[in-house]
Amino acid sequence: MKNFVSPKTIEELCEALKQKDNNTFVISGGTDLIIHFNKKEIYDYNIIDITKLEEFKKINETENEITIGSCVTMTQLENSLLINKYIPALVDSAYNLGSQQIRNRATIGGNVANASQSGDTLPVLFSYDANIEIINSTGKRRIDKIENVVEGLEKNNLDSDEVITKIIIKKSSSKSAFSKVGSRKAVTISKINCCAKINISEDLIIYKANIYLGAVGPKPIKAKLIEEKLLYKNIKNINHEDLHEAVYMQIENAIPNRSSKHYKKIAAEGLIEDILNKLRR
Amino acid sequence: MELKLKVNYKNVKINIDPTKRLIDFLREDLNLTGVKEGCSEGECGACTIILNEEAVTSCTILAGQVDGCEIITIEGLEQSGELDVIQKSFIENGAIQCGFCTPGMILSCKALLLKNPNPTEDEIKRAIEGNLCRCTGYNKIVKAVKDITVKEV
Repeated sequence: MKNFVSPKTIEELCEALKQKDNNTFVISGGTDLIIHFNKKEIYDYNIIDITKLEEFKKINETENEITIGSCVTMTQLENSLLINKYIPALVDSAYNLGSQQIRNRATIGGNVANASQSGDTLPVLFSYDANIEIINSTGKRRIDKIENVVEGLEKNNLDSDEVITKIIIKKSSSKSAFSKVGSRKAVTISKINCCAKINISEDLIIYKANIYLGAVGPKPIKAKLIEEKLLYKNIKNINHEDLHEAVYMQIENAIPNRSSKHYKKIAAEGLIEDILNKLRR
Repeated sequence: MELKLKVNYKNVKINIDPTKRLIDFLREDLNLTGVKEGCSEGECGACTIILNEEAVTSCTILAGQVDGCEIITIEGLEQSGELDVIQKSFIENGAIQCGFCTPGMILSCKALLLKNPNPTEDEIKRAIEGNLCRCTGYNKIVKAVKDITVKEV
């Protein structure tokens, strides 16, 4: 007999997690999980549907932090003034993800838990050094860094009785932007994506840079070489010749044995240029 | 599981397997065959329905997840024998070729117009990005929606 529960409270969620077996899946938007069921021809499973938990659907602000419930959808992110103010790259990444139908359904917690190598919100959350709040079946909550939660290649490091409750990001005055390249313009999976979070002084000098590239490894990688090239430069006056070497080396180091590296070097250069243009605005 | 929801403005109470996909529940249990199955992975938009006023692909949702929700399918747009203005505009503009994408396409447009009665051409294009028409009828579809925006939705 299949079991399907939609907990409405944390107590009900914990109860469901206590009963959870190896054949029980936690579902949120479903835009990845149901396709996975079809591809793997999985037809007999139990479900814990977390989309009825109101706590998981809210974006909140505290004095120092922005908290995003795990079931907040891409459409909600795209339309949130709070996210636009403090994490503009997250608006960028949500805006460009899937189609209207998918954005209305896909959730940020699902994007993290699914841990796809081309997950679009991931480089943004990595750049912002996001913390992930997780609850287990006993109701105990813990906080871990995004890079520890996402293993990559559709694997996460959550225990089997754990669920992501929210994403926590420190407020900052950083500017950020996200860009991606896919095989077509819309409704496309990233072949490569990138988020840059930078701080600029009053005289337009970049004094902090946190850049992550996605889809060039199991999970987003920190683009140190590119960061170094940008540091202490005037954002209006960046030498593209100089950047060219750094971008190519960064991709070469990340995927030396992949035939896609040639394409991704050129694509990454375009992405960085696109992002710098957004950041100059 | 006993599922209670509103489909096309009518209350429905039915015992079903909650792990069935929403598209299968609508087609098989409620006989709403205007919901078309195309790619089965949320990319083609043929199975689009309006769930709580938002366009979604019914092939990526489980039936058990829509308990207590409101759903509109293409069958729900016609009221008392009168077609919805979007349906009329699609007909008037010849925005239908083979017709397979039409229910999903119309529902994506309907969801857009419910939120934004005066969309720009770019907003219309963005709203139907997730609906594939392999007859390449996009121009007429965009025109059909633009025609409505000057009338009443």
